[in-house]
Parts: sequence; C-alpha cells; structure tokens
Amino acid sequence: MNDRENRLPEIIASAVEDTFEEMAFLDAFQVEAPDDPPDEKSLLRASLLVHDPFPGELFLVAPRSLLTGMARTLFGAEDECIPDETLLDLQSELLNTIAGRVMKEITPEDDTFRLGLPETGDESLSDSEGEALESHFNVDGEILSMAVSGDALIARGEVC
Amino acid sequence: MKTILIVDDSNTARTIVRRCLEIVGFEDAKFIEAANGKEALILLKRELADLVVTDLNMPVMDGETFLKWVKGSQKTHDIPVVMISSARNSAKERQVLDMGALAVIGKPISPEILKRAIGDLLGVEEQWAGAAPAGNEKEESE
Repeated sequence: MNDRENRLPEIIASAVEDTFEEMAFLDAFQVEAPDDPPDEKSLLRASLLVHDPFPGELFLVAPRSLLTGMARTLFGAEDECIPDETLLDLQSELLNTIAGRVMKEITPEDDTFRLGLPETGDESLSDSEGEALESHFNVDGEILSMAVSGDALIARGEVC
Repeated sequence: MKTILIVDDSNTARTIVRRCLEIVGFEDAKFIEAANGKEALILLKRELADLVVTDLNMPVMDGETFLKWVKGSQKTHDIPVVMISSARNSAKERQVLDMGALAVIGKPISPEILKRAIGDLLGVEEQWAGAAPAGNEKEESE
C-alpha cells in the first residue's frame, strides 16, 4: 500500500446513493460509524465476490426494518411480516447493483470484470480476512453498512 | 396480447422489470418468469414469447448461454432479447450485441432506459431518433 488517497470509499458512497435513489426513491448519505453497535438480530447480511480483474469481496449489512419498508413499497405487500427470503433477495439485488456500479467505475474501459452471485449469511463484516474498508450510510433514518475486502480490490482504489 | 418472458434469479429484479414494462406500455401483456436460462428455455418450448428481458449473471444457466440457445434455434431466433446486467462493460456489451441481443442495459433499470431499448417494439419510433442504440450508449446515471 502507498500513501496515495484511496478513492474506493468515495466510489462506494456514490454507488450506494445512486442505487437507493433509483431503486427505491430513498436518499442515502454517508455517516460516521455509529457509536453504539446495532442489535445483531435486527440486521441482515449479504456478500458478493469479485472474481476479476481485482479479486475481493463486498458486503452489505442492512437493518431488517429498512428492507421491510422497501419491500412493502416495491412489492405492494401489506403484510405485517415479510419473509426473510424476500428481504434477502432485495438486499442481494441492492448489493449486486452497487457492486456493478463500483466495478464499472474502477475497471479500465474495455476491460471485463466478473462478479459472483450474491450470498446471504450470518458472517459479520469483521469476519472477513485481512484489511477491510467499511462505510456507513443513513437511509431513511436507519444505518446500513458496506465493506470491501481483498488487497487487490482495495489497492485498485489508490490508482483509479 | 404480447407475451413477455422475464429471466432473473432475483424476484426483486423480476418485479422491477415487470413494473417498468407495465409503465412503458405493456400493462396488458402476459408476463411469464424464470429464475435462470435453463428454466426460461423450458418455458419457451411451451410458449413462444414476443420479447425476452434477461439478466446476464445467473446460476444454472447464465444470460449469455441462454442467448446462444435462443439465437441458435430457428424457432426462437427472431425473439428480441434485451440483456440486463449489473456487471456492465463495453467488451461484454459488444459480445452479446454481436450474438444478437437487441440491447444491453445496466441495473438499476428505469422505465425510460427500458423504453429506449425496446422503443421500436412499442412503435415509438422517436425513441430511436438521434439516439445511439441503447446497448452502446452511456447512461447519464453511470
């Protein structure tokens, strides 16, 4: 790593803001990490591998309540309880879209990038190996977190 | 009534595509859905579609392989296929356009972008006037 500024957090912030605005008509803005950790049981997690050209992984951790509100709007569902399967599918699609925007921004023109399929699970952001860049966003009054891991992917943020 | 096949492993993505299609003029269409290319081919054997809108990155059979099968069959060769992808880049776009895709559009899609991609199918000729094909254009949002 060198001392050059890493643009990845800025690129991720832009991708998150644009994705929430275009998919859900919601404003997202970057905030500092919350002082008090949220209740783990209230959060849902998704991850996505970047295979080429800069291997790494992206994570999205979002409050169940935020995803529930978005799902109600998107699917027109009036049910009190929306199944986790539906919420995780929505979360995966959000992460997939954010990842595509980030990779398009950092991949050289005419080069090809390849993403894995979104996965959902219980791993927390801190379970990822090695260095991870974390950023936090306020969306509709709730805090969601993004993280990027993988030396090659993070290092790309210093040269793009 | 037109039949439109939407192919994506995400129910969320399929719902967004269906809503966008309804907004741009296909509100009376019959929508059929599949979660991957293999499922979509099975549906097309039972019933031909007037338009296919498919994701590129899917499990079991991805959008590119599915497109090869559609364009390789005399029965389905003429069905217009719009590809949607989060992993959008120029090299991949050229590749699938060369394979016969009508257009490639990036996620998240909007009614405006979709309308531009399928404008001639709707008889909305002005959508093409003075504009590059949707697969080759740079979207303002990106």
